[in-house]
Amino acid sequence: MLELRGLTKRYGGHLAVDHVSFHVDRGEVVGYLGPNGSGKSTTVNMVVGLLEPTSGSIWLDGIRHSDDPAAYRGRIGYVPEEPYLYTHLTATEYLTLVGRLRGIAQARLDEKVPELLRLFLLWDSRYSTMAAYSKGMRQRVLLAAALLHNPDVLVLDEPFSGLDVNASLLFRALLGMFASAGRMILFSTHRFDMVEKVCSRAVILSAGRVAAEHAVAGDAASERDALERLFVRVTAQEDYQPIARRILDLVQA
Amino acid sequence: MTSAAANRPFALLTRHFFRALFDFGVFTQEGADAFVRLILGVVSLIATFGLLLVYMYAKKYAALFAAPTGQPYAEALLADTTLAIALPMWIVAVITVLVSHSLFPDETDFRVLMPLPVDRTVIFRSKLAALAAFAALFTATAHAAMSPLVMLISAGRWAPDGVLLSLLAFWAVSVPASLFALVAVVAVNGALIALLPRGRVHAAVAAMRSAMLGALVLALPLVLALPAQSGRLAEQSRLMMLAPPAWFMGVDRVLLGHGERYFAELARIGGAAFALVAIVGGWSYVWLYRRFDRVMLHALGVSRRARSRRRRDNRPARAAVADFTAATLRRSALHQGVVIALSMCGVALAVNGAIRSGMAGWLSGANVPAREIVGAVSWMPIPLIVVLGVAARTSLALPIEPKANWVFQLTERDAIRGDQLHAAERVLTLFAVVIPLALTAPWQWLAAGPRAVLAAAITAIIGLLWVEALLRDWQRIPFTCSYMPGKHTVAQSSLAAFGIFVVGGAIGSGLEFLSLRAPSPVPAVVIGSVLVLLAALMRRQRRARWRATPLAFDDELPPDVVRFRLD
Repeated sequence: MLELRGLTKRYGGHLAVDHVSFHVDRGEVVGYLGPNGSGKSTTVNMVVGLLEPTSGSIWLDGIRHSDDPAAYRGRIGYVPEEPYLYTHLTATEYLTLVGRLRGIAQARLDEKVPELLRLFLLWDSRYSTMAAYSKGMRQRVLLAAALLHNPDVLVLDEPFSGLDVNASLLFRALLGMFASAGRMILFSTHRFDMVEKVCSRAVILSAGRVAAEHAVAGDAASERDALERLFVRVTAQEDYQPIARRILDLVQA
Repeated sequence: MTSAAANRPFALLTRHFFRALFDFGVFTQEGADAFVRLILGVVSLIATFGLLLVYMYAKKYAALFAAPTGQPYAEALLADTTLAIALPMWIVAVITVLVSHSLFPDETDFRVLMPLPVDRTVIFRSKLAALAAFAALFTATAHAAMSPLVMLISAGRWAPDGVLLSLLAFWAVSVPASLFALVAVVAVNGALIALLPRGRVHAAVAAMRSAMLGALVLALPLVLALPAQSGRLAEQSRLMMLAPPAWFMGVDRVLLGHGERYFAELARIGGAAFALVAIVGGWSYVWLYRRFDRVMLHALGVSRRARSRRRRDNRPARAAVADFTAATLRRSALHQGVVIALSMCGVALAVNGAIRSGMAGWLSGANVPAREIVGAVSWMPIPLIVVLGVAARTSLALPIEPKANWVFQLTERDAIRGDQLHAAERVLTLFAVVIPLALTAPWQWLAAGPRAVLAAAITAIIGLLWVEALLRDWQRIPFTCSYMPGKHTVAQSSLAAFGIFVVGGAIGSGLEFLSLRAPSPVPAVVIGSVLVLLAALMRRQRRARWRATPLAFDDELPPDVVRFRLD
C-alpha cells in the first residue's frame, strides 16, 4: 500500500500542499483530481521523490520513504505531465538510458526495449531522434520508460494528453491489467471521463487540501455527473454560465 | 491604419528575434541574464584590445615616420590597414557563426507566427533586421576599437592621405568587409538548407557550424600575422589574393586614389566575392521565403537514421551516461561547436609556437638549432592540454534539455554516483591527455628520438593533473545541470586564465624540456614519479567526494561580494 500521511509542502510563505493524507491499495487505481494550482503536481513530485516534503511522510508497504529514498524510487514508475525527454536521442537510446540507470542488465534490455517499441507502436520510428516525434509518441516513450523496470507503483500525471484514440484505448487497457496484477496506480488528471473509466476511487484536492474522496461505481454517465457535481461543490468552483456569457460579451464588444 | 501601427509587428518581431539571438535555448532566465553580461564583457574587451593595439603601434610608427625614406612606412601601412580590416571581419564572422541557429526563421517561428495575422514578409524582414542590428553592435564596436589605430598610422609625414580621409575610407571599406563576412556565413548556411535533403540539413548545418568555428579560430594566428606580410604586399604577391581582408584593402587603396593594377585586381576579386555571397545569401532567403510552409512542415516527417553506438559495460549506470554523453557530443550543434571552437584555440596556439620557432624550416631541411626545435616540441603539448581540457569541460557543463533531467534525479543513488560521473572524467582524459599525447608524441620523437617516450609520459602526467584541476568542483552528470555563464567578469577570468597558462605553461614545458634534453633522464623520472603520486592522490580524494556528495542539477552565481581575505 502507498500511503501519504500529513504531506505538506511550503514554498516560503506559500503553502502549496497542506496536510494531504490518502492511500492507494494494491490493485487500485486512484484518480487525483483538482483545479489548476490546487497542488496536484507538487504532491506528485513529492510522491515520486523529486521534491522533499516540508513535513509529513510517504510510506510504501509499511516502509517510510525517507528511510531509503533510493530503494523507494526504484519501485516507482513515473510519467510526467509534459513529455520532457532528451529529444536528441532515439527512443531506443532513451529507453536504454533509463533502463541502465534503473540497473537493468543489458541482456534484459536488449530483449525488452525492441519489444516495448513494437507494442507501443514506435518501431517504425526507432531510428529517428525524438525531436521528430509528436507529443503522443513522446508520451508513449515515457510510459514505456516508466514500465521498463516493472515498478510496484505507477504515478501518472495527465498521461492521456496528446494521445490519439488508439493509444488512449491501449493505455486504458494497460492500466487496468497493471492494477489487476496487484500494482498501485496514482493517476493525476483534470478529466472526469478518464477517472470514471480508469479509476476505482477519486481523491479531490482543493487549495492544497484533500476536499473529498469518492468511490467510483455505477454506470458511466451518472457516475461522471456525480463526480462532476461533487468536484464543483468541494472545490468551490463558480457557476460558469455567467462567466462564459461575460467572455463572449467581451470578445463580441 | 497609421504607419506607426502598421510598423508595430515589424518592430515587435525585430525586438523578439534580436533577444532570441542571445538565447541558445539552454539557459534559465538567470543564465540568460548572465550570458548578456558576458557579451557586454566581450564587447568591452574588444574595445580594450583596440587601445592596446594603439599603444603597441605608437612606437613602431614613431620609428617609421622618423625614417629617412617613406618606403618602410608605405609597406607597413598596407599590411596594417589589412589587419585593421581583418580583425572586425573575423569578429563579425565568429559572432555570426555562433548565432547561426537563428539566421533564418525556423520551425518555431513558423508554428507560432504563421497562424497570426502577420505577413510572411514581415517575419523575414524582422529576422533580417534583428540579425543586422546584432551584427551592427559588434561591427560598430570593432570599428570604433580599430579607429584610433587607423588614425595613428595615417598621421605622419609620410602619410599620403589626411587622417580624416583615411578614417572615412577605412569605415567605407571595412564595414562592407565585415558585412561580407556576415553574408558569407548566411550564404553557406542558406545553401545547405536549400540544397540538401531535409533529413540531412540539421546534421549538415551543425557540422558546418563546427567546421567554420574551427577554421575561424585556426585563422586567427594568420590574421594576427598580417603585419608581417608587408613584404608580400609590397612585392604584390599573388598569394595575398587568397586572403579576403587583402581584397578589401585593395578597395581602400582604389578609393583613396592609389589604384595600381595589383590593388585594382584585389578590389575586383573583393567585389566579385561580395556579389557572389550576396547572391547566394539573398537567393537562399528568397528560396526559404517561398517554400516556408513546405520546408517547415516537411521537417516534421523526417525519419533520420540516427547513428547509434552502444557500449557494453558490466556497470550499467556508467555505460548509460557514457552513451548519453557521446550521443550529445555527436548530435548537439551547440556542444560540438563549443568543443571544436575552443579546441582549435589550443591547436592554433600550439601550431603558432611551432611556426615561430622555425619548425617549418627544420622540416624542410633548414639548419635550425636543435635546442630551438626541442624547445618548440616541449611547449607544444601545454596549450593542447590546457585548452582542450577547458573546451571539453565547458561543453560538458552546458545543459541540453534541463527539463528532462528529472530522469537522472529520480534514479540518483549513492551506489552509482561515481559511475554516473565517470563519463566526465573519461571525456576530459580524452581531451586533456589522449589527444595532446597523440598529436605531440610523433613530433617529440622526430626531434629527440627515444627520449620522446619519457616526454610522452610527462605529457600524460601533466594532462592527468590538469584533469584533476578541472574536476575539482565537478559534481554533475554531463549536460544535466543548469549553467550560469560569466560567474566572474571577462577581465577577471581572462587575467586568471592568462596567469595559469603562463605559469603552468612555463613549468610544464620546462619539465618536458628536461625530459627531452637533460643529459640524464633521472631528474625527469623523479619529478614525474612525484607528480604521478600527486595525481593519484587527487583522483582518490575526488572519487571519495563524488560518492559522498549529491549530484548538482542547478548552477548558482557566486555571492555578490567576494572576500579576498587579505587580512
